Amino acid sequence: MTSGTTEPKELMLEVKNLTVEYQSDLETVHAVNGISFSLAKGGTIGLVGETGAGKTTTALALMRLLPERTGKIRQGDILLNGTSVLKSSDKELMLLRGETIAMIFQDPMTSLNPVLTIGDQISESILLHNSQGRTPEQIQGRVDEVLNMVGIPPARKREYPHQFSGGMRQRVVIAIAMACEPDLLIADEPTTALDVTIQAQVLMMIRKLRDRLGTSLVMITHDLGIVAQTCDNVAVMYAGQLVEVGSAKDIFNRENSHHPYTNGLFGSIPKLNERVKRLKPIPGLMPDPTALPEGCYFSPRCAESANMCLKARPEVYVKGEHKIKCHKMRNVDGYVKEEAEREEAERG
Amino acid sequence: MLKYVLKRVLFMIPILFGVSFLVFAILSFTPGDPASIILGNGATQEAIDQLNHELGYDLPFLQRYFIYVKDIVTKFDFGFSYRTRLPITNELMARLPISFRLAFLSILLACLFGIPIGILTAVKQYTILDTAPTIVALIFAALPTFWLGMLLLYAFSLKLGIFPSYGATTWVHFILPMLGLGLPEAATMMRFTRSSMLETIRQDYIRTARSKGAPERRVIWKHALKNALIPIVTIVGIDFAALMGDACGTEVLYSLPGLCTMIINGIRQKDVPSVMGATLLLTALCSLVVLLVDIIYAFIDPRIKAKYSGSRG
Repeated sequence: MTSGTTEPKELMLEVKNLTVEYQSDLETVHAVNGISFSLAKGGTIGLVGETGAGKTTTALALMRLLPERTGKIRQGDILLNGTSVLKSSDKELMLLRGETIAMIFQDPMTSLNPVLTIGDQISESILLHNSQGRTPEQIQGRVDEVLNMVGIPPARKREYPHQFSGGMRQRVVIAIAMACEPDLLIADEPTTALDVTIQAQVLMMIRKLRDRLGTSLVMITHDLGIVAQTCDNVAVMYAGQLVEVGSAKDIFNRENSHHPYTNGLFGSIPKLNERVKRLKPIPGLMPDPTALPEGCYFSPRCAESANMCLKARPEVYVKGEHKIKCHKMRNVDGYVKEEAEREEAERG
Repeated sequence: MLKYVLKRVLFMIPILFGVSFLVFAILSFTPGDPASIILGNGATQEAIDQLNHELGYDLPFLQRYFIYVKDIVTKFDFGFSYRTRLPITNELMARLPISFRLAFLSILLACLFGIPIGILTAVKQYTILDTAPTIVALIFAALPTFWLGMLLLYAFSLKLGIFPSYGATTWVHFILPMLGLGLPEAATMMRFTRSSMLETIRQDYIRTARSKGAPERRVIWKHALKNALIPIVTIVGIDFAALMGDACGTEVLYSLPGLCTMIINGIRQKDVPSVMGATLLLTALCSLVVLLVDIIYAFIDPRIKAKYSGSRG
């Protein structure tokens, strides 16, 4: 996270007060409620949170791939390399997608077209963004290169998705995303569908690719271990809000103050070096996104919640790069109210 | 693949046996006999018995069935019509092209209109380009075939005199029947294409295609259509076969001498060999078309192709 006053690095991605709703005839689902974060060129940010926190919705919004009829971006802006994604025309969007920004999808079993060969599916984005005027042979050469990169023998490019295992399909999904060497890669739970041994391989591969190509990465996951391995910045998401944002150091340092939800997340991971009888899961469930609580969204589950937590939306308190959205932070030394955040029109 | 086709062709044998036995039994156990129908009310019992004997109808049911099947299997002989005493095979060969042409033209019309409009309505869901065709389609789907046929007859041959009202001698004779049979079918096809397409464009892989920066037209034609077509091919095949045996109203209305009228007349006159011949021919054609559809599947869907050949290739 770069603070507003000094910007040492160029920003790849800047999300400002993004608000996304799913609108149906019966109800409005408040999926993402005014989140802001930014990502420097070559940086990595981990978006952490439990299922239904709005992580995937955020990712889809970044590419404007939300379901057309129901998914609505109500507020905010997304700046990619300084230009607004939301204000882009369809044509500009098509140029961005695939080449500047690419996404690794969550479910490799459904994300590939069953009737096209994987070679065709990988070469498609190269073909669509062929500004260098590659010949068909050169495009095939690039496909082979990408396949080698993700560890699939290029000879298999004439095969169809059903001929691959889950782990191999995830590699194909990654190959599709990497084919045009995008500037920004969004990895939406790239390892959730895989078993543990393959998970490590796939993560290592994503890291290697990022390091080699200098790609900026948004890593979406519910697994703090993955974040610790890959990300230099972390954003913790709860009920469509970012409750805590900071560098990996800020977040993983247990000495620091944290949002109660972040503490809860850490409490539910087993540690090898400590003797703990039982893990402490966070009690309760995420609030219904069609009817969010009046005060802090986490207050119904929060062990530290006070009277004001139930009534007023918390402000964001900042110390350096570390931001926490919690009432209890107002009394903690070194953390000051973020002014910019105050202007954000809170929903409700 | 060849092995699969062979297996499927062999599988037609029990189907044909089953159908022939069922139809033969129904015809035989329903009251009445051919001779009394042919000779009419005034005939003596003696004359009726005599004629039934000549037709071989006095033999027990199972024996008649056995003889019927034996003649087909050994001599490919479908017997003689009880009424006209003409060989059934000749009549089938004369009527088949008419039924086939009618069904083919109707299904062609249905595909040409139904599939593209179905795709359009799915892509433009909830806009005027969706609702307007949908309303028209609902009207056509709800119209009884015979009524639509009569309207067409009234308008185009009686009032305007553009098309002939009966007969099957030239292709012009087939235009009105084609419209009468094909338009409701086009409506069904459109609704089906629409729902298949709608389901397909909500799939994850369509989102993947969009994420690569593919323009909408490419997403629809290259990524969605082939997947959406898989169930549509089935409907086209089955409906084509069904239209051949289902066109009674149209055949009667336009006096087309097709297989349906042969069955209807046969039932009315207890002409067992006529009904049997036409039914068996339709059954065989139906099985062949379904087989053809399954083979076409393999060319659309690589997963099915792999299943047929029983390997990964």
